[in-house]
Amino acid sequence: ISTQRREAFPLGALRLALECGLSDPTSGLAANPLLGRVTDRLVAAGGAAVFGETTEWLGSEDGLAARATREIAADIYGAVERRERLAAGCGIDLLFNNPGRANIEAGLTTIEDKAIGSVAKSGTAKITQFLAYGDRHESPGLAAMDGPSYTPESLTGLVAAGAQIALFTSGVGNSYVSRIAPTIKVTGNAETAERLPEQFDFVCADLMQRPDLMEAAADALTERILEVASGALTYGEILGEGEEVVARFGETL
Amino acid sequence: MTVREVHAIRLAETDDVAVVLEATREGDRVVVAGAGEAADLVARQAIPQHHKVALVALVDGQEVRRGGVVIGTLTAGVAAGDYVHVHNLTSQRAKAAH
Repeated sequence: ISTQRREAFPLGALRLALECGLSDPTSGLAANPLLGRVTDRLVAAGGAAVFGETTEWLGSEDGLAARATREIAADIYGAVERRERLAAGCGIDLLFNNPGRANIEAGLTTIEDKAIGSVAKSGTAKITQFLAYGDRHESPGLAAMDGPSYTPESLTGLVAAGAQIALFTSGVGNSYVSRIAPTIKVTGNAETAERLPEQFDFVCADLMQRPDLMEAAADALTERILEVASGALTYGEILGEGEEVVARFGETL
Repeated sequence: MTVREVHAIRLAETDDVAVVLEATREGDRVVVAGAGEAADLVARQAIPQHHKVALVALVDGQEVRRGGVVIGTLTAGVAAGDYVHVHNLTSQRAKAAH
């Protein structure tokens, strides 16, 4: 590895993982829409991105399906239904902890409410591939991965798909980062950013009051992504955070 | 006492609720911007920052829309300006999973 040298690549050579964790309403109104905007641009430039967290598609499946072929739409509906059945089969409440206490205290009321914000991070591009958990994603474009909502497992699956960099939003704060892929932490919550300055690489809280600044914010985040892709370190790397967590046998919901 | 003004965001034009951008006190004037027409209403209860306020009157059992999709059904009727959250809004999908 030490004999490798840097080469120039265009933006379209990038493959991103898109994740959200410990979300609050700012996630759905600022941070995730910003990821969506950046993802749209990346895909338009020939790049690739992958998102997962199947239970956080509940209530928003129609919107996702409308962006996909009939076959992928069926995969999307099927993946959600499978998780609902899996839970019922175990005799547990699928959504017992989703939204969790932190989400609820922050203002997210139901899984459908949370899902709107969660799927916003996938932008508006066509979903051109559907992946099982941890499957490799080798083509350009946006892929949906059937995976758990628990961030460490989710992100491990997305990185296994081949993502080089992860964009990870949090509303109330979440210290997790991938060990393998530099993880750019993004928040739209000004108070959280102030309270946890070394947790976030990018703050977009001004989008809450000024949604008209979206294009400028997308420019700035794209710039940051290119910097990280060129070697700039994220807080997670500087602080030595990060681990990989594979979904356990018997599945997590 | 002057009436305090707070801002709220409506995500999609057909939404029944908006998200308040600041902690809101009962009696505050809530100025709603975002998708659809600007609106103005009075908060009927205290509403924590980033929580939801009803934009219209809805009845017990009615579906609530946000972001253009149904986010749940009410377990009690609400008037415009009421605080909407887990105390009066329940998931349809979480119920269906049983």
